[in-house]
Amino acid sequence: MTTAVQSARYPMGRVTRRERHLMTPEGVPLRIELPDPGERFIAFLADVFISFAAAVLILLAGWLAAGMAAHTGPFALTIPATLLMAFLARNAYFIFFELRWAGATPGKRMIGLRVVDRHGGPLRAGAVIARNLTRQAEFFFPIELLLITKGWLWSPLDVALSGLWLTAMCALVLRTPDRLRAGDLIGGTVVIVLPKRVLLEDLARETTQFEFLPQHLEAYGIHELHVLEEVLRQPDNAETGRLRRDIVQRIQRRIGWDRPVPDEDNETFLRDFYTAQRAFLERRKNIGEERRDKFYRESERS
Amino acid sequence: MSVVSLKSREFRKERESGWREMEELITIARTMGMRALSNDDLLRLPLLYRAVLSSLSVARSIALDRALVAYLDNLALRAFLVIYARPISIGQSMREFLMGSLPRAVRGMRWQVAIALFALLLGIASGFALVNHDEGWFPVIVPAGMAQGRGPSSTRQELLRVLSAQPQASAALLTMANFLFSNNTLVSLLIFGMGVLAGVPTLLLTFGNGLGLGAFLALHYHRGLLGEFAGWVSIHGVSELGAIVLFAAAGLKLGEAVLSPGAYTRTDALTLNGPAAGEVAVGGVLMLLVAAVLEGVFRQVIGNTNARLTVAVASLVLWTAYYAGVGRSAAK
Repeated sequence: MTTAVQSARYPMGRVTRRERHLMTPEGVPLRIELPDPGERFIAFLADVFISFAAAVLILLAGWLAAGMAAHTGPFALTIPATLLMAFLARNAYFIFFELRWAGATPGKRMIGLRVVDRHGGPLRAGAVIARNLTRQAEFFFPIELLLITKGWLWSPLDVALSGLWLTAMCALVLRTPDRLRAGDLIGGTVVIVLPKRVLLEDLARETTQFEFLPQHLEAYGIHELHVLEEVLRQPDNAETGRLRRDIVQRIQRRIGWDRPVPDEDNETFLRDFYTAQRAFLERRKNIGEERRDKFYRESERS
Repeated sequence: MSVVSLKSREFRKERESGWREMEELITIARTMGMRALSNDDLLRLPLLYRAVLSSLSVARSIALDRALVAYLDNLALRAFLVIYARPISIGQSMREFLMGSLPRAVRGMRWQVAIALFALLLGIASGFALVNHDEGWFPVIVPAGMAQGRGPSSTRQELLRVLSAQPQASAALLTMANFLFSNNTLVSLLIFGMGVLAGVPTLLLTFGNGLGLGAFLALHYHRGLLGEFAGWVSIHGVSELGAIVLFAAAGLKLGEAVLSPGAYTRTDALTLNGPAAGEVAVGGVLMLLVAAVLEGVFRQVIGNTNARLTVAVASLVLWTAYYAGVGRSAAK
């Protein structure tokens, strides 16, 4: 529900995630988005579930095969081979997929996450192996310490130790600016979100019905232009209609537009004003005067 | 009616077909793999990628259309990943790893390896000295689970019975090898991971490992079984202790990066040393795998002490030769 409301209000996707830059070898900084800790956790849970399910399936298949071949030779090899395969499914899962799928596992792919080199280079096999081996010590070790050594009767000391260890590891992810897990620190990697954006239509028109003069376009800056872009990209409905009428009136007052605008022309007025304002601001920017927002005059004076 | 000229709109019209083409290639590469791209596509890919990067730079400087810049940001990143973050072939990376980067990484850490080995040997010597002096130390040093009933009260016959266990069905042996392997791996990864804490826990754990072994050595020495025990433990112990030394060396490398990062921040120092340390740790896992097979299978099959010692010496020579010699010519 909340996401639906959000995407209606911000058709281009409001960025609430942290942003960072990644420098390509060509020297162009690319904007990257870091996932929320929750997104990473869900991807991780999915991966753990898949790899464990695979291990269990292998074990079951192995036991069935062993049962059928109980009185013949292969029995001797089925069980140990099965155990080894289950062990691999559980432990080599992350490394295998992050190598083969270039930094994604099934869980990460589901959420749209990728592992990339933090310094913009290629993702190396050594980095993938290092970050995933560290996961064993980071996360699985404290859990298995509880499961293996004490069965279900956990001693308070073991619980405290494991809890402390897990807390420290989670704190690392939450506290580092790039949301790095210990394995990312060691592997030199960072996990990013990779949504797929489509190219939305250009709102600027070739020809305009309303004609704005330069003095009409002095009032606003780039920030206001972008807000107007958001409003124009919202789907048409009663609420948007009211919002647009309100904005038309505000703009009229602000720029000193004295001719009345009929209600059915609200959208045309806004589209034309957007086009003229963008053309104007782009020209100003081109000659080196970037008007950040409507307060640009004050910042010039100070 | 009036005509408005917009640089950013003209720019978009001019370049849009190239962006669409790039999008198609990305989709093919991500869903069907790079091999699904035709030769022409492969030739176009880097050109289109550079065109997208240049479009992004231009759009950032001239266009005030937020949707356009956001789209190009995203397209450039996805194109970048297709070009630079390639899927890695498992077989090839394993070959490169075993025949080059692993032994090279170990050679690059010769000082850490020496320190870890020293800590281990010091532990063995201390454990031997303590128990040799007074067997009362044995239960203090060796936890009950590891001792499995062996201790100061054990007689020569009891110890000998453990050392010359009868061969069993191979299935059970392999099962045991599996169990030993996964168990040892967990402990060893702890030795490695704890290196981040300035390497102190790593050294203590390594020393502690040696301590237990030294205690066992002294126990058997008192009962005139030193040779038999040496054969029993070293057939796999050489590989297992070698693995522990590698894990500890990798952990020490991480500790060093945290303690004295030099001109870098601690994070960057960890990143610089991390992959090499990780490779050495993977080498440790491989040695543990070998150790588990030696312990689970060969030790039960080979009952003779001299033969066991021969295997141990051979494994020592082979491991040393591997880490000292392999991949030297390929090194740049």
